[in-house]
This record gives sequence, structure tokens and C-alpha cells, in this order.
Amino acid sequence: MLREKIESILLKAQKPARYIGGEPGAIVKDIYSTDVSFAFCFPDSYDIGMSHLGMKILYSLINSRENYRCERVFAPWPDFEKLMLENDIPLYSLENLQPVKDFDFIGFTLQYELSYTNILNMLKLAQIPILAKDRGDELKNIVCAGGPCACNPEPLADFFDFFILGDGEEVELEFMDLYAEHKKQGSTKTEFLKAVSQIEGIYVPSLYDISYNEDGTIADIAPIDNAPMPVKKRIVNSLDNAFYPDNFVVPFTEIVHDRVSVEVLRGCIRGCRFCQAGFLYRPFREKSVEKIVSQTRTLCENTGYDEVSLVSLSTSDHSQIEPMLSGLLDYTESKQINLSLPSLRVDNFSKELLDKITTVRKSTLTFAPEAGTQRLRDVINKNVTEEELMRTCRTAFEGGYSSVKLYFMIGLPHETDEDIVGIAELAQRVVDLYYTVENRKKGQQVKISISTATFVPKPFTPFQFEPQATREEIMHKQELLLSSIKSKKISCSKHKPDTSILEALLARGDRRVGKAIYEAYKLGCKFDSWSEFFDYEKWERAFELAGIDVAFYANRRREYLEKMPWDHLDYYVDKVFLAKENLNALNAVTTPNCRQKCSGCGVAKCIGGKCFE
Amino acid sequence: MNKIRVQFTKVGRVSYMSHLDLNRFMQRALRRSNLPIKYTEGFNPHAYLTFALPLSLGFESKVETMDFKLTEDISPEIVKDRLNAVLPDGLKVVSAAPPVHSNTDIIASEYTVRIKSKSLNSSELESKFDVFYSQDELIAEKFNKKKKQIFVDIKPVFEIMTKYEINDEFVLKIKAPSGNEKNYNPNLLVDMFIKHAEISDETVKIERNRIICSDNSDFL
Repeated sequence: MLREKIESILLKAQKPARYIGGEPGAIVKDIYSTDVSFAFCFPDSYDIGMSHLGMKILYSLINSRENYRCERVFAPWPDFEKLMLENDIPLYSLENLQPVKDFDFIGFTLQYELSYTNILNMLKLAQIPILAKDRGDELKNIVCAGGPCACNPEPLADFFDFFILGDGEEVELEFMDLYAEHKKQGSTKTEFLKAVSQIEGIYVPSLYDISYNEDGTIADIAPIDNAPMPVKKRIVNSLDNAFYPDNFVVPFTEIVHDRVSVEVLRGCIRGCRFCQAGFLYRPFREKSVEKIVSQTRTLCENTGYDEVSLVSLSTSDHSQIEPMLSGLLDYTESKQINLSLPSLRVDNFSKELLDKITTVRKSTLTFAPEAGTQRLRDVINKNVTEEELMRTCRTAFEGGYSSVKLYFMIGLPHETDEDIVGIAELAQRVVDLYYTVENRKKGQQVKISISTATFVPKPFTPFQFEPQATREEIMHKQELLLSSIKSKKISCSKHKPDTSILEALLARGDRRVGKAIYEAYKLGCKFDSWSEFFDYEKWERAFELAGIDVAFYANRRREYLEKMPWDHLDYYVDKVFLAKENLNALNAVTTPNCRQKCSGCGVAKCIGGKCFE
Repeated sequence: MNKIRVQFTKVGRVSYMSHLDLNRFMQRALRRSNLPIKYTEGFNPHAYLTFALPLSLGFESKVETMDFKLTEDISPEIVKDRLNAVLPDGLKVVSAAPPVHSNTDIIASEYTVRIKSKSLNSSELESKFDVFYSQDELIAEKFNKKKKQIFVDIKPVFEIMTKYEINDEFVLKIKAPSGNEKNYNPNLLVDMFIKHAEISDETVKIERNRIICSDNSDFL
């Protein structure tokens, strides 16, 4: 019935293959012979969501249990959304084309803050009340979420029943098992939520009372009914033993990352002070070379992809990088499969490594010095020297590359105009370097593209206390950078800071910010991460309606002793350590990486003493 | 080198896969099948794949063909089975054999068009069609091979083979020129009719039934 309705409108939409499922690798189970159903919702388009590795892992994991069922749901593009509404088609899953409102769990992944309005919009399309308190006490439609942004889920607290902190594959089946039991017993939702809050890694926001001081900061976070305090994140101990899918859904239509992805390590040893992932995913865990090679082989064989990408925060930090690449190339070259290696660092990028990449394909090389001067790189603890960058670029130019992409952030803490000019100067020195390389590729112009992002202070980083640069400051910095570039061989794009300001608000917001999200959604905000849809004026109206002062959240320095909205959530990194690192930043003192010396962030003592043998 | 032609269906959910996507999709399916396919040389090796006629997005068919080369002697029956083992529902190889015809032999295709509307029943649709089709000429906008907009009278282009009503559907069987020389999409006629009949709540399903060669045999 629903299928007929869907098919009657499909051809009126762009790329209809995104809305009908049926791809190879999709797992379609009988609705009536499974006990618990989970609608895995990605709050962005199919093309984006289908590229997400976490979804592939959890999808396969849940479906590996015979009596559990996981189906995929994506945000319809506005043209299709309009058709759905006109034809009274509720949001549905792609496997059984089943309405989302029929599922036991409706799980979202929180990958970036700018997807929050899409979540609300998807709940509306699913014909499910948006506020958790309006959804009744019957045990069904449990709306939950995990992913990096779940580390400060407070702005979303009113919309969700619970959040999953840490590594999802560790806890997913545990709470589904508990649900199955409660379903059998005929429990209410309240009873289930109380019980599930006792599982490590589960945060039920309705079981915590928040009170505020007169100045607007948080006075207290108080658990109700024996809810755990703090709520600890879950950690997968060994990546070798962790569940990893042996097949992916192979889409009919092109998606952003249309290839096999193999995670090679989780966590990061570096401790760059701006990087949330570097702290959230601690401790550092490696997958063994044998596992990496065998998973690559299995996935290539089962999907038919001719491209593999290694996934991690910093692939070259794998202790066995050379044997890993040798092992992988033995296989991929024999099968004519492309191997791509994003996330390489400048400082350990060897000639051997480059040779290995170039045997497969020459593309643009991308480096992220993040800041234009050594002083500012020390502030942010990006332990890369200019010498290392130059050495790497030389190696690359000698290897036949002629275009390099450089990533920087602007608006970093303690940044001065000199640091901004330093970005242009650094790029110029890379251009100059090119012409000193004897065996550079002849007849080719060197091309340096500078890409700048506006710094957003994030929870669980040493910069969580820092104010974000104001709009005026950011505009000034952008103009200064553009006017400092003297060569036509250097290109630099400029972008509006509005999305970064919104991101700053949402990232470090408290429960009161939820009202602004709700108002923005009601004003029609969605797909905020897409420039063609982003409408900051509507957001400003929403702030007004919700009584939210953006500067209070984005541009205010927070004291070390201030209670943060996420202080009751434990990612094992001590707040005292973050404050110490914040002071080190002020003094431009660097901290060695975890392999060189343990900096005592607090993770090691929680996992039994040591992160490294 | 063994050239092989597989005839396959494209029905159900897979009919919403575009022709461009189908090519990429089949490349991966061939890799999954582990058949010894002849690949191009170079940095991005891919199989030499030829499809006789592209099928429009949303059309179904049981007579699509795809050609590729094998580097080893393998029986067509095994090729068929190995491909079917890795293809999703709706894409099914019905036969595999060395090609009989050349692509240049193709002159026409036959289609079944099913039209349904909430506001008009099937006999109303049929009488509307009769009025529409009784016009002396049917001038349609079309883009030629150079992407230039042209106007053509499609009345002599399409042959209405039969028309009938079944349940609440109005069904048309159409023969349309296909191939390298002249290629006409039945949507040209259907869209014009829908516009003429002033309906907006229609559901149209089109299936390709036959690909016809100059000697009037089925393309194989």
C-alpha cells in the first residue's frame, strides 16, 4: 500500500533511487518474525548518510541477531519531502518501506550540530510528536541518539528519550536486549527508561534536573531516582575483537564516499587542543595488520568496489603503517583496486609512504598545518614544524605532485594578525619551494589552495573554556588573509561565519538552547549544513523567540570552575587536565604525543593503567 | 576473446536506477561475480560494457542486454548463474549467449504503457486519448543529438499497436523507432497526452517488451 503510493511519486523527484531501497547488501527481514526493530535514521540526505561508517557497523551488528531488525532511514531532499507531504506518505524505512512510527527504536546519529533541525523535521515527517514528553508512556518509538555530538546532547534533551555515549557497538545490543525483556513483561516507557539508565554508556536526560544561577550559568545537575552520576561512556577494548561488517549496502546511485571503508585505528595520540575527536575517542586503539587486510579483502569481494579508503583520525600514526600498506597493496594491486589514504600527517610522511601511494594514483595532496605561525601551532599543540611541512612538500613535488591543499583555522585562541599573515606567507614559501625542486614535473604550474575554517570551541577539549571570535573579528581576519596573498598561484576561498557561530552555540549549549532549535525548525530551518538552505535570519528570529543570547554561549570565556552543561557526562578525560592544557595553550607550551609520554589526561587510569605497552 | 551478451530484466525497485548508475552498478556486480572479465588498461581499470539501448529512468523491461568480454572459456550457463547470484531483486539474467545481432541492427522497440488516474476512470482516459490522437498532427518539442530544441510531428513516429482497459488502467501498446538512426522515447507521446487531458494525479508505468531488428526478429 505504502509502496504503491511511494512509486506513484518517485519519478517526480530527483535521483529517485535514493527513496526505494532494494540495493544489494541491504538486509530485509520479515516484519512479523522479528522481536525488536530499530530505525537507524541519518539526519541528512541519502548521499551523505550512506557514506557514514558508523551506520554500516551498527546496521550489520543489529541485523546479525536473527530476531532483531535494523532498517535505514534518511532525510528526504526537500523536493521529495514536498511530494511525501502532498501524498500523505509518512517517513519510512528503505528495507520494508515501513513507516518509522511503527518501529520500537528510532535512533539518530549526531555527526554534526547543523543536522539538528533535520532531526526534528524527520520526527514530524514520521508523524511522531517532537517533544519526548508528548509521546506517551507506551513502550514504543524510543527516540535515541549516539555519535560525537552526543557528548553534549543537552540542546537536544527535550526531544530524546536517551543518548548513547561512546562506542555504540559496545552497548547497542545490550539495551535492545533489555527492551525485548521489558516488551515481553509489558513495561511502560518510564519503567524501561529507568532501567536502561543503569546500563553504562546510556544517558537518560529526563532523569536529571538542571538548575541555573542568576547569571545564567548552571548551578547544579541533580540525578533523580538513583540515576548514575556521572554517566560514563562505553569503550570498545580491542578493535580486533570488535564487530566489523563483512558487507556494505552497495547503492544504486552515487554517494559521497562510494567505496569500501576500513577503520584502521580509533582514537588519536596527538592531543591537538582544538580537536574534539582527539579527546572523545580516547584511548588510542589499533587494529592489527592481519585484521585490516582480511577485512579489506572480504569487503572488496562482497561489495565489488574497486576502491578502498582507510579510516581513522590519523592513519600514519598506526605503529605498523609500512607493513600494513605492503599487505594491503599486495592484495589491491593484484585486483586492480585503488587504495586511498586520507588523514596523513606531515611529520611522518616518508618517501617510502609517498611511493606507495603514488603507485596507485596521483591526486592532490592535502595537509593541515592549521595555523600560520609556529607560535600559534604551539598554542594549539599541532606539533608540526614548518621544516617538516617543507620537507614533505619537497618530497611530494619530487614525486610529481604539483598541487597542494593546505587547511587552516582562523579565529583560534590567542591568535594575532601576525598569525593570519603567516598563513599567506607560509603558502608563498611552499610556492617558492616548488621552483627550487630540480626534478619537479616540467610544464606544470604549482597550485596551492588554502582552505580556512572558522574555529569552533568544542566540549571535552582544552578550548572548551574559550570564547569564539566574534563575527566582526572573523570578517577582519578573512579580509586580512585575502589581502596578504600576493601570488596568483595561491587560491583561497572565503565563507560566511554564520554557520560556525551557530555551530558554536549548539556545541556548547545547555537545555535552554533546545527551545531555539525548536523555534528554528518551526520557522522552516532544515539542511542547515547546505549553503543553499541555510538561513541565518530565521535562526536569529528563533533566538529571539526562545530568548537565547548567542554571545552568552559562543563568545563568553568560561571559568575553569564553571559547571559546563556536559559536566555530568564522563568521557574519562579529566576537567582538571583540560584546564591545565588550556593554560599550556596560553603559554604556547606544547604537550608531547601519548606515545612519547603520557600526559595524564585521565583515560589511562580508567582502562587499567596504560594506553600503550 | 569471448564476447558474451546477457539479457536481463530491470523491474521493481531497480527500475529507478538511472542508466549511468546501472553501468557503474554492473561494474561492481561483475567484480562480485568473480567472472574472468576483460578489463581496460590504465589507472582506473573497468570492464568493457555495452548496453544495446539505454532504458529511461523508471521504465521496466525484461529484454535489456549487456555485452562484455571474457578472458577464459566459460559456459554461458555459468555466466548467468554467477551473475544472478550477485544481482539484487529485479535485475535477473534470463539468458546468456554470444551475440547474434549487432547494435546497428536495432530499428524499433515495443512498449506497454499503463496509465492510471484518480480523477478519471480508464474508459474516460481512453476516450480522452481517442480525441487526442485524432488530431492530424502532434507537434512535440524534442532535443536533437546536438542538444538543440526542435519541433517534430510525432504522429507518424509512433505506432499504436493496441489499446485496452483493464481494471482501472488504460493500457497502450506502442512501437517506437529505436537505435542509432532514430530514437524516440514513448514519454514524448505520453507526456503530450497527459497535458492534453489535463490530468495531474496520474500514475504512468512503462515497460519495454521487445527490442526489434531490421529483419523483424528480436534483438539477441
